Amino acid sequence: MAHGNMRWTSSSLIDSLTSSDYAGLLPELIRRFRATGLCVRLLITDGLSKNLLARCFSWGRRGTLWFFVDGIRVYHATDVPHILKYPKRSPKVQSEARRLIYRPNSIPHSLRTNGYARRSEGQPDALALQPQRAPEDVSHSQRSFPIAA
Amino acid sequence: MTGGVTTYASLVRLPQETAATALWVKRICTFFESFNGVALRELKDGVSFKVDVTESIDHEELWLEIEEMRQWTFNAPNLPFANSWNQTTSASLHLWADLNSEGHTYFPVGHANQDGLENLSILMRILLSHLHNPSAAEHPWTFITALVNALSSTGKKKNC
Repeated sequence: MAHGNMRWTSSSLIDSLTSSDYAGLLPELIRRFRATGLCVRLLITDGLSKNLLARCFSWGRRGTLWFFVDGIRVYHATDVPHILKYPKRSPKVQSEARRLIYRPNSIPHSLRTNGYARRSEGQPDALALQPQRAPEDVSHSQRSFPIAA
Repeated sequence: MTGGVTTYASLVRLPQETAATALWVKRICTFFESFNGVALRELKDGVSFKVDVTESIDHEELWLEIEEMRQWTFNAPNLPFANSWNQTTSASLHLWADLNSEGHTYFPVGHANQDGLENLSILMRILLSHLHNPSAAEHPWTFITALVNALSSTGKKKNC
């Protein structure tokens, strides 16, 4: 739960719950939905370990397809877009991806001194990007306007 | 993307290994689309599985193929990728069998993901954005407001 003047987000609310909290809350949540007249047949969670642990706490080991709340079967599935995020989140995959992604820091130091390419003496440098101020370029502080009398 | 990569691989402008990668991406895309259908009829873009689960579409056959993922080898150990796919496909198959036996003719599998819930959380957060630390008592009214706003909106481009 957000404290003090901390900006609250949905993730900050969710992060305050533990797996055992989820395990206790899920059946109660399904009962509340049923009380409104809805028929809960499927529970969708993402693949975070907290959710998977809650599943283990609530209704059994990994791989269990369904559980019962008040004698009514509820299936459990994983959110498919989150499944596709698993490989992306893997540290090994991320390190491999970082190796392949172009990074500006990989530019040799000799070419990025002060943000501009280093000029070699006696040679024309095509990469020299020295800013050229236009003659009519006058900053606002130096600009003078006629004051209406 | 798959077509472009395979074309470039056949023209040897990309390494030959990229063709296999492209086919793998295409297969994953098909699996994903089979869980993302929100239409009752086949779409025109050629993605035949981006529809609701019915008796006429072979979702079951495709989903049973996903079990082959258990044989894939990933560089990262302990990746719950394949197990979660199997959990999802098996649960969906059982649920569809239950629904079909109860007389339901289709299963809107595209709505069985977290997108709707995440969009609802964002809507509630926007409605309560003036509060730094809202109390629990304010959430029901925010939920009702978000629900009424969504139901009163006639725009087709919104997904919540």
